[in-house]
Amino acid sequence: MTASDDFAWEPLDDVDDLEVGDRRELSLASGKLVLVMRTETGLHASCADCPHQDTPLAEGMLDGSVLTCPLHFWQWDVTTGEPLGVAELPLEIFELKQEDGRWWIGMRR
Amino acid sequence: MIEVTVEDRAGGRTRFAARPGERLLHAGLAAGLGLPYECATGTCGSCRATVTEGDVGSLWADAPGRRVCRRPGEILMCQSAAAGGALSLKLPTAFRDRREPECRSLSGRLSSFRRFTAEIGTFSVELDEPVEHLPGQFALISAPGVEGPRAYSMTGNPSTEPRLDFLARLSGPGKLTPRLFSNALEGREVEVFGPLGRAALRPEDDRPFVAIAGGSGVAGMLSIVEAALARGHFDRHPSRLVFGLRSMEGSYLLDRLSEFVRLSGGLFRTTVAFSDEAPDPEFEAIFPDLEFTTGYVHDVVRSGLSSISADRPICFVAGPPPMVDATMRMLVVEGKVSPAEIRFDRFG
Ligand SMILES: Cc1cc2nc3c(=O)[nH]c(=O)nc-3n(C[C@H](O)[C@H](O)[C@H](O)COP(=O)(O)OP(=O)(O)OC[C@H]3O[C@@H](n4cnc5c(N)ncnc54)[C@H](O)[C@@H]3O)c2cc1C
Ligand code: FES
Ligand code: FES
Repeated sequence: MTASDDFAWEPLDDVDDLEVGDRRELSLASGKLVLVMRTETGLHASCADCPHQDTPLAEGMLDGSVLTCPLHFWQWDVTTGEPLGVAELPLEIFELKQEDGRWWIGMRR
Repeated sequence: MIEVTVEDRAGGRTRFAARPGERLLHAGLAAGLGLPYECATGTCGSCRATVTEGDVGSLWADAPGRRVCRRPGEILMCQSAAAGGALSLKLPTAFRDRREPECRSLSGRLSSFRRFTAEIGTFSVELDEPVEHLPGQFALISAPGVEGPRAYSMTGNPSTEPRLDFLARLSGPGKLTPRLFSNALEGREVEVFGPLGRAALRPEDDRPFVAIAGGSGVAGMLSIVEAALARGHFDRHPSRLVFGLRSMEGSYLLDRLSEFVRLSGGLFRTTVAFSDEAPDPEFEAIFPDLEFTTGYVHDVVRSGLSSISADRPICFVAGPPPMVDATMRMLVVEGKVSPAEIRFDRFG
């Protein structure tokens, strides 16, 4: 189990209106860009750029829990970050939690 | 010779030797390494690496593929050469396994150019010795007076003859293709580096295929179909080509494709899709072996997706980048085809 203290939590606004299949690139207060998306299993967040060649994944395709990069079609399961198909690297996934009616994203310290 | 050490993402480490001025990608591939690349001509960014020790010279500072080199020390291996002293590189990806024939540099002479239409024609390079390649692969041609090599796909069934055949499409005011069209380089000595590319039909492929081509993307498909005919592939696995053209006027290769369909006894089918107009019945009557339709190739393929899901064919996709991207997106997202089942080349 990872304790909540292992993470630095930042609020994540502007995600409540995301519907299943939607994704949105957000810039955190720290300047980091993340991609937030909603699948049938809930809200998920990953790094915004493809680990292959930094292509913005907001331009990719989300189908169920499979995210596909539009450039060389690397794919991941966004619930775990596990690489699928031709992907050679995992996708960095961030913890999310809902507290006081607000979404928070956790960056590992 | 300069010693180059390359480390891949997984920490795998290997070495190769490069001549001063030699493109690092060429030297590494010729040494048998599975270095990452796609276009091999500076546009795609796939051959990015980080220089961790030593110096390199850039052979094309304005290469469009350099947009992916955003951090200090990042270079394109296809547009860089070792500048002297030992050099160490780090790859962002893993080494690929090499299942293609060996690459090397050969010299040859350009044949005369045979023009079919205002924008399409064929040419050959007579080599000093034969070169092995897989159907669907391409080679780089460096011609005198033209900076940097250009990629062209081999169109013939690989043979033991010391000659490679190519198809060229004139698409704008370029430095090499227009000079091929005007025969300005006929008989001239050129350097050929290859074979390159993974969008190829392999000897062990024992499945049907769907080949999807736009414009000059049909070049490599000619080689694939010819090789498939020669090895009786269609008797076991009926397969298909969808070929995108703009309009009836200026269409090309339809005679050759008709012949392929006849030779296969109809087991190889070809659909020609015109993006800008509907085919007229008189035109269709000239080519009774071909099927015609209107629309972009990816839309035509979409309408046959159910058979793609059922047959699980190998998908070959080649052509201009927007056509390849639209087709890949459709196959992967709508057709749920795994990208591992698709072999593609962006011609640009
Ligand atoms: C994998 C692949 C296969 C291809 N197959 C075919 C084919 O079968 N038939 C066909 O007609 N075309 C093919 N092309 C396109 C072809 O390679 C050329 O881009 C096209 O013919 C135009 O060449 P050009 O010299 O006329 O144009 P130019 O505009 O002069 O150059 C086009 C390309 O040459 C390279 N280049 C330009 N300047 C430099 C420089 N200073 N240094 C280094 N490189 C430079 C770049 O890659 C550029 O995109 C293929 C491309 C790729 C990537
Ligand atoms: S940039 Fe995303 S797969 Fe290559
Ligand atoms: S392989 Fe070097 S830029 Fe495409």
